[in-house]
Amino acid sequence: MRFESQLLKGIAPVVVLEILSRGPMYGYQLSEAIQQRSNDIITLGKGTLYPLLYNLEAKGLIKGRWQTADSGRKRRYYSITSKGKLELARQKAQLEDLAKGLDLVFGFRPSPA
Amino acid sequence: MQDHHEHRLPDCAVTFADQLVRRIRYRKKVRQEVHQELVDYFEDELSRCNDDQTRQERANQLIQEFGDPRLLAALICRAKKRCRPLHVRLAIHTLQIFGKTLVYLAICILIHSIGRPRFSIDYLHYVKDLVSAGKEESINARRYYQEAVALLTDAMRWPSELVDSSPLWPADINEAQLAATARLVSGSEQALEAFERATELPDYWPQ
Repeated sequence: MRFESQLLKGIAPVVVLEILSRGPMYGYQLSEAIQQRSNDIITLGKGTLYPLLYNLEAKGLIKGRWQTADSGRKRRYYSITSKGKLELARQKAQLEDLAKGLDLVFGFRPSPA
Repeated sequence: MQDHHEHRLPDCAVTFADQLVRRIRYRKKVRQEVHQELVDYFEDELSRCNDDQTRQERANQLIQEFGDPRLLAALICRAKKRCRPLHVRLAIHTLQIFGKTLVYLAICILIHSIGRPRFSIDYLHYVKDLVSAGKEESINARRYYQEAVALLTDAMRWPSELVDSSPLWPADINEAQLAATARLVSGSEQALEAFERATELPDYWPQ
């Protein structure tokens, strides 16, 4: 699904942080993981991925490091930092509240009787 | 950071990565790292393709998905610059301010050295209006001063005794110089009278 760019812009950083909180990944792996985990609903644009990763790195939320993979190739693995974990927790709480609010407004899920 | 894997990529993918990285105006090491990451991305995606034609088609598709290389390069460059440590950013900003000040000063010096001054306010006229406002011309000493200067210029022939050596103090004046000064004063009586009349008037403003 293609979301409005502004909508995706808001959730993309938190999605990346969430995926990286499960373990270090390189760019392609991350892009694939997001697609798989979201059942192809969320897809990061190819042109969005690397600027987003570098921006998160600049903010100190993730850290990139060159490592040699099992295949013998050098990859730049990104991992979440402690600051990133705090930010993720903060944004997740906000998203949960937002999701609850949206449920109530739109009636996506019927409230338990 | 480039490795042998890159050679297996279709030409269009290699060209795209090269073009994009060339447009990133930043340190060579960082550009090489970005290049390697892009190449890795293409390789991972294209490793699923079985034949050359599919690889070529998928590579073209990926290039379309990455979008305008100029825009992407600008975004990456901006993000990478943000990654710089605080002390480096501080040093760069200080140097930029210093450089801009130097350029500004150089432009100012250039304008002042080759330009011609333009007077937007005539201060002489302004002061004259300020001083002479509501006053009659009869109390203006200007005409007597002008008369005195004209007479003095006509009458005055500076004596050779005073031209050769002008004493600083009255006590140092010798007899010959004293006589020459007396002759000068007596020959300029009219001019001195005009000066005297001018000093008796209370005001002065230019024409």
